[in-house]
Amino acid sequence: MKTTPIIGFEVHVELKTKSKMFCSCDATHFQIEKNTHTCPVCLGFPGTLPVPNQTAIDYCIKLGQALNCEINHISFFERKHYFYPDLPKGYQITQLQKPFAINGFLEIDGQKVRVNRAHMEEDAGKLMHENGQSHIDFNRAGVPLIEIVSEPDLTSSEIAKKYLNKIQQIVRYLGISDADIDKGSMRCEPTVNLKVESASGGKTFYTPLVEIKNIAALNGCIDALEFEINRQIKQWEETHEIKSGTNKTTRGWDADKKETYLLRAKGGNADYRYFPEPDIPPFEFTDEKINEIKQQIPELPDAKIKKYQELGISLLDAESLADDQKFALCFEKAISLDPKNAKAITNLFLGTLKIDLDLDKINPQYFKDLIESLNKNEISSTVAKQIILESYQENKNPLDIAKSKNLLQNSNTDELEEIAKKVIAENQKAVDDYKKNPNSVGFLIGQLMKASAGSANPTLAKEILEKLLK
Amino acid sequence: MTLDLTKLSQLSDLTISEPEKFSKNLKEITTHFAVLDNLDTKNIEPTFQVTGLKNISREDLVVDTPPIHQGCFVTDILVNRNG
Amino acid sequence: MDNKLNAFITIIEKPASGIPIAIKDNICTKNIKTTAASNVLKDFIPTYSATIIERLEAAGYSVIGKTNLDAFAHGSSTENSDFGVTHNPHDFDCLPGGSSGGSAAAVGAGLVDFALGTETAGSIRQPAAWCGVVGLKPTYGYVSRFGVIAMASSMDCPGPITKTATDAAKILEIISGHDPLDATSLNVPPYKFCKLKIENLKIGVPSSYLKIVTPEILEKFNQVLEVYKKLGHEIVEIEMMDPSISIAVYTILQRAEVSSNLSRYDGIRYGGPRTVFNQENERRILTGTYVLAAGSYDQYYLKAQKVRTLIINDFDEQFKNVDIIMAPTTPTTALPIGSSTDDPMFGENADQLVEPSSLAGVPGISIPCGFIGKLPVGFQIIGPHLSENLIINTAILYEDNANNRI
Repeated sequence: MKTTPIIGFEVHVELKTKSKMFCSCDATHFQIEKNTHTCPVCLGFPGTLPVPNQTAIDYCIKLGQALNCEINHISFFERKHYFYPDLPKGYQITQLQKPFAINGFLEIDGQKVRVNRAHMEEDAGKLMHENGQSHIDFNRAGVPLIEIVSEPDLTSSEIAKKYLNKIQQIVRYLGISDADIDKGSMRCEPTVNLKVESASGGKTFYTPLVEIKNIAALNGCIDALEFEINRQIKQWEETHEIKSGTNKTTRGWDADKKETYLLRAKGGNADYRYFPEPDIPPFEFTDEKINEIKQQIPELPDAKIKKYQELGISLLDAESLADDQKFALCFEKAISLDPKNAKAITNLFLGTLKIDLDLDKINPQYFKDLIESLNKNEISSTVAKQIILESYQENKNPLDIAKSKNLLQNSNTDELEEIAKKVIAENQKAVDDYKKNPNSVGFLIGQLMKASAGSANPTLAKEILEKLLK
Repeated sequence: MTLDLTKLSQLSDLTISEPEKFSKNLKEITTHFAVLDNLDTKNIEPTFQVTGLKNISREDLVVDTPPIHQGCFVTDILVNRNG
Repeated sequence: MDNKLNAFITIIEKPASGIPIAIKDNICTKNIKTTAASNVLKDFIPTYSATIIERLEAAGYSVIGKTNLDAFAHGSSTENSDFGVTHNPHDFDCLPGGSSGGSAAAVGAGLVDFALGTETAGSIRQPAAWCGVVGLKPTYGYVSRFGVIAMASSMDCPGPITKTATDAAKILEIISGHDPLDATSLNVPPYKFCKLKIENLKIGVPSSYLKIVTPEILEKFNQVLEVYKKLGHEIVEIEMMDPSISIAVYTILQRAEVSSNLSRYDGIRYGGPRTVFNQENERRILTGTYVLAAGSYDQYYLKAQKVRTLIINDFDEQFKNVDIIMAPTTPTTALPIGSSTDDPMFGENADQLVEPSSLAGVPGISIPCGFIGKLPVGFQIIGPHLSENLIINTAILYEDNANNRI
């Protein structure tokens, strides 16, 4: 029997607009005093009306394009009805028939993961239970969300993790969301089932769909998937229950017990009675407008990774450089005068410079000079990593720092030979030891370093000593 | 569509005060709908908006409004109704 | 002042000193109880005013009271109010019409010269006709809906109820024009009344509408047409879609939007619990849920929206050939109190002559044109999109030339 996981995701990204989706309340809500960022509109008071946030819509179109989606020329909002205390109007304004973006994809490890849609909606309030009572904080109600729905194209939890990481990266690159899973500004809800193929190559079966909620961390998501995949394998072996139109279930993830538990039993789909939102006219986008927004999209991670690889940087290093947009831009500025030495500069960035960098403080000339010096063996790579950090922090030319701290390497063969001869002359015992055991040359190298006040090129020193002692 | 009063009651979050009367009323009301079946709307687009307006939105600005309510809203509505 | 009529739910003890105006109680007035005539909101005091109230107050009007209506505007009688029915000022035993019955009765009784009502399909024009006053339903989107308790979002129009067409124009100038708080508000400046010299009007009269009215009303209406004919205008009989089609479309769309708009009343953030809705409210919500439910959407809601397009096209076509359309406003004069009880289609039938124009979003004004016995009769003038100046001037023409003004 062979089982293959089939995983799809609904990812909600909370946008960092200044105001909410349909009213002008402050959209920040994390650790804000309860019910202080609210108004009659987002509280659903009688007679109030929604007016959409243009920036939020632009963000959705940008994200759609970054996900290689088609942008619908006509798009509109709809009402999704259900009753719940944290939903003020008794309906959520969302999109169904005509979302802003459809039919996109991402490439993960050479595998194409299709994105069915990226649409806009408003968030609900937060229900809390304290002292046997239920309290509701509506600060979050009305905050703009983009929902990204993938097709069930992911086949393992590892690829799932990469998919989520990629979305997180793209969203952060676009500057539209912080996408912090632990703060709730990115929420992941996988749906998973299994494809079961019998060993004899006979029929193929599919297990019932399970949606997993309450995931609060990226690793938690992967653990949840792993747990659920194993649980479904066991369930299949016991029951041989196959997927039907009415046996989809919802399970919650318990991060402490590290298991999923049943939240909502089978029973068919809820009836949300969608209809187009009469309070908000539809949107019509021209090709010009769509292109205008596309021009605003910065170079995205995958493009940067490819570019870096073309400069001779390894895939792993390129991925590390491109992981954070600001970091990547700092790197690009650093190599701008000296792209052929990108690989060497990569080592600096992934070494002591792997900190929160300020683009203004990156001086490409300093990097050019430093690498030139390194290539001339005037400094060692260890020294280079140290002084570049100081150079960045103090805004000083690294070579000046090296000079002032006496860190320049002496690679002048004649000078070193002179010093070596003196060292040999003054350390007869060490010379004798060397003659007996060539590996003990270290002591003499140390003496030479001392005599040269640490500036001797150690590799050259070793060569010269060995030559003289032959 | 057959009438499932329990479902309708649940979807509307209302207790139907006189179910039989309502069933009768609904039947009467829906007889008026039959006139639409005779109209050919195959190539007709629905009208969701009579204004003809498009692309209405507002700038992303914060406008402070005076607080409507202090503290937290309390509800005793059971949470496990819809899952 | 109001004891017998019950036109008001709330009377302001000491109103400000501006021009008095009565406001239908489904329009939010800051710090003044706004109930929508429902026990669900019987203690609700909004901290905000509707845009149209702010504009009126800025223009020197003062709210002197909140008038009675069918609860949540569900009805055409004002009998569905949770605070008792309003009586017709011309015949105490008769209904004032609805849902803006309180506003129409208050103006009809001379308690106030200016009032605001709202119309989804008939709720301004019908009570205006039954109470013998002027009622104007503006073009949908011309007057902001922000702060107006929603009934059917795609049809609700706040509008003036007054003694004369000129007064209606005065109010429209103040309340109309773009509002950034209402995304369905037209991108146009406020209405400005402009005296027109009306000549050679081509007046369309739908024959299908005339088939539904009582003979007495028909006679009164023909007298109206005579006034215009004498002034040299042309009456043209036109064929429009049968009003029964509009009844179906309107019932489906309105109930659907009502069921949605009343979902916010869950008693958590304000107001009473859902168990307090009256039977008409309950019936409309359930019916609306029914037409939107899975399996019904295409057959009812989507179909109705498509037929709505046909109705809009019908008006567009007619207005290519005529300047305005005229018809009686209602099939009958005011009916006795008690007539609407237990009739789930009372409103739709009473409003069938105004439903088509409401669905199309075009403006209409009802003008009093005489009496049958004690009870007033009204006729309506319907014009194309944003033709308020034309229909108001046409109404003034009648007022100036007819012999039976109130």
